[in-house]
Amino acid sequence: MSSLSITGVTKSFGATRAVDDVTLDVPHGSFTTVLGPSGCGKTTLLRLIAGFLAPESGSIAFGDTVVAGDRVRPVPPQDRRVGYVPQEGALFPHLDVAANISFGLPREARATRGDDRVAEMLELVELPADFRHRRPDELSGGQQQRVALARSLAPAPAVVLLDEPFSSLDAGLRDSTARAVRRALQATNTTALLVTHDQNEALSLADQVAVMRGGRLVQSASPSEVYLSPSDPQVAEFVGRAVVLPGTAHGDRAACALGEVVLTSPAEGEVALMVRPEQVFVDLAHAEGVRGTVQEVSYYGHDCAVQVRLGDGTPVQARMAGVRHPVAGDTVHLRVTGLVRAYRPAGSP
Amino acid sequence: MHDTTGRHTPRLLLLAGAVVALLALVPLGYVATYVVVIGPVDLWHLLARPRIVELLTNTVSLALACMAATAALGVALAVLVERTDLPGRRLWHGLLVAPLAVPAFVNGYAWVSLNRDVHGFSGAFVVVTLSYYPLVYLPVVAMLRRLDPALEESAWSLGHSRARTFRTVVLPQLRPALLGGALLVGLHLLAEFGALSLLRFPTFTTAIYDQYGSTFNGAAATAMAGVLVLLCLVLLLAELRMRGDRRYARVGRGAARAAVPVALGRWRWPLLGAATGIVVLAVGVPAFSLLRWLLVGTSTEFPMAQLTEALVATVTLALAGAALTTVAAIPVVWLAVRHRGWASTVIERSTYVANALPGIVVGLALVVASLRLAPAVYQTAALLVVAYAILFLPRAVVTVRAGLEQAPAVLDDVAHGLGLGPLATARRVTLPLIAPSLGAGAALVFLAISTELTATLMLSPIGTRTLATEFWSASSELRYGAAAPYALLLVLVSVPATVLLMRTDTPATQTERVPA
Repeated sequence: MSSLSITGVTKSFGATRAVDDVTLDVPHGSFTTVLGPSGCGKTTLLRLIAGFLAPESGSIAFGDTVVAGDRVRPVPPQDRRVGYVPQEGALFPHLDVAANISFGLPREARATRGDDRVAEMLELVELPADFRHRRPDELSGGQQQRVALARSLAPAPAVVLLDEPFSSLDAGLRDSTARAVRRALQATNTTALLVTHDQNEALSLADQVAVMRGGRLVQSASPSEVYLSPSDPQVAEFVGRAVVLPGTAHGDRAACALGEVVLTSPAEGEVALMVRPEQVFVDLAHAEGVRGTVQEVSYYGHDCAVQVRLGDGTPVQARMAGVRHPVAGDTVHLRVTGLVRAYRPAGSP
Repeated sequence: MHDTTGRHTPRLLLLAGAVVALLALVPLGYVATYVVVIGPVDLWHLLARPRIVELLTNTVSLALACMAATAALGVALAVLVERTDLPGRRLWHGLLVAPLAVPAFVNGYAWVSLNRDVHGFSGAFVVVTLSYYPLVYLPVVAMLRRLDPALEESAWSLGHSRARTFRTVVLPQLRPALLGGALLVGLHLLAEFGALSLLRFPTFTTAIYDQYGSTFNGAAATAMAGVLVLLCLVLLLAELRMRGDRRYARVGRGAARAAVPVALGRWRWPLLGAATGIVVLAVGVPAFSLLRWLLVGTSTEFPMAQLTEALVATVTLALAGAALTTVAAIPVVWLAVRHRGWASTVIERSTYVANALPGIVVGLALVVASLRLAPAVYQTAALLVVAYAILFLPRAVVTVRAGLEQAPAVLDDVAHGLGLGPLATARRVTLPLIAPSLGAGAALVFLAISTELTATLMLSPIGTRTLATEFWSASSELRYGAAAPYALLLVLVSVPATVLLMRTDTPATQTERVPA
């Protein structure tokens, strides 16, 4: 086990900079998710860490050992001690579960102690011990992913890298598999990096979320910080829903289409204000706040999303509990609760 | 050099692939060079003759007639077996594929030795159609099994009758399989030498052989080979286009359930009779003829020593050919699957051209090329084995490719991550995964070589007698009884390949299966 330090790493394919000057620290034993839309360079970053690709500049270190960097001969993947869990698991189809899990153990361990390790690993990923003789095509997608994780953890790697491991699973299985993977990684105190485009997955699993866009790392922070204080409005819109409104700030307050709001930090002049839909309170009973007309209601049971058009035509989304909700055509009043983050408007320096 | 995924392409691999591709292009290169060297005037003099016009008419008319007949017969039988309540459908399937186990030249021998009146256009048409209709029947059956019955059910629910649904929904989807199969029949027919020679129906292929054998007239033979190759390339291009379309036709992951069979009702007995008639003609006649010559033929003696010698020679050549062909396929497939790029595509396509090259052209090209460039290898077993490799490389490439696609590169990545170097990865991951397909590819090539006649006749070293050449020398001298034991062995050798082909679930469809 060790920490993972990525410093100023760049990698291009032809004219495209797939990974552009990325610096990221993953502390020992922690879990970081790299979140970004497809094509943002997150998988390339993972392949650079695994050693399948070599960076043009910058360096990658596991603990104190530099595995790729200037004037350092890149350490080949097989000598890096990375556990790699690709999409859909990629179990070796010609081997059973036990042989898959013990695949990375040294020859003598495969012959003798492999059995103990296999049992230990199956227990770790919460699979029954009698699964050891199953073949990969006799496992469900979620079970394949668990075995793939067990296989990567068996040789006690320095770092585990997971490439969208849950994206091929259906919704119910995705969450339970992700939880089991998280528990297994925590139990072994393994440093892990998971790449995903799913913001729920990124926020709910990680100690640290790194948001990538166009090859660059735009923000890395704890899940709550990324959600509550996104570094710019685009990150806000990518990580969760966001209403971005133009406004005028003066000190710790600002005026916008939703009335006066309180800012997280003081600002002056023209700003872009980011309001989360759950911060927009929909008042059905009183005529207090800004008047609007309900356009559409998406009802989810536990809550619902309400699209409201304000008097001046501004569209606003609100999220409210599903117990009592308006219907399309209703007139409602909106108020903003909690603090609002202000950004310099786009195009200004 | 880097491929389209940014991976480095090993130079040695590229070199190996290039060597294989160059070798595969020798026959085509020979014909093309010849045409350029001789010039248009002399070429015109060689080709603008009544004899050539007659050969062209013969070849094209027989090819078109057989393609049409095999298409009609193949589809009708496939629908009968797959979509009706015909009793004993599995048995019928086996019987209808069985003609593939009888090489066409053995079938020709069976007919002509029973009745000397079976000859000329009509004789060739009947024998070739009965030999080759399974090439249409099999892909159409596979396609019918893959079609999603929900499509037909949708059409019914929209108010179409069953007959109209077949015409508007099913038939258009069968079109790629049907046309692809018919074009394959055309390619086989253009290359067919033995059957047509026995049935005394001259086409380009038989004429080239006669020309080569009687007068060693290289110029005339090569000019005709040029025309033949041109005809083949037209069919190959058409077939390639069909292949491209076939992907669009494959809609689902295979039918989840079988379609509801059509009740035949009062048509049941007439259709049963028709199917029986086909099987009698396609399987019964050759079986009867062969057994008759084996049992009662006056000239039949059972020369065990000669038979054993021919069998050993055939097996030795086929083993060597299968090994060379499979080894040659590996770099081609590796480049095509793991290192996609223009160079890999050119190399793979070059080997594919051999699909259009009749054995006669490959034989002729290697005879001339070896005499010109390396006289020492002329009439050696090595040259014959190379000819086999050129002829049957496409089969090995297709099979090995399906295997390597089952071993995606991500498995190598995982193995590297688990601490394995490139050699250990090849030993513990890639080779175990592709071993079955290497074996299957080698087996297919082995069986194809065992029954190859044309190139073997032209290239086998003096004194080397194989099953095919022994069969040929006996039957072309009308010693039908003497030919019978060799014919029987040739049929027995063809049975395993036919059984392999009968299984319509290909490796490609297995990879699409999703674990529950």
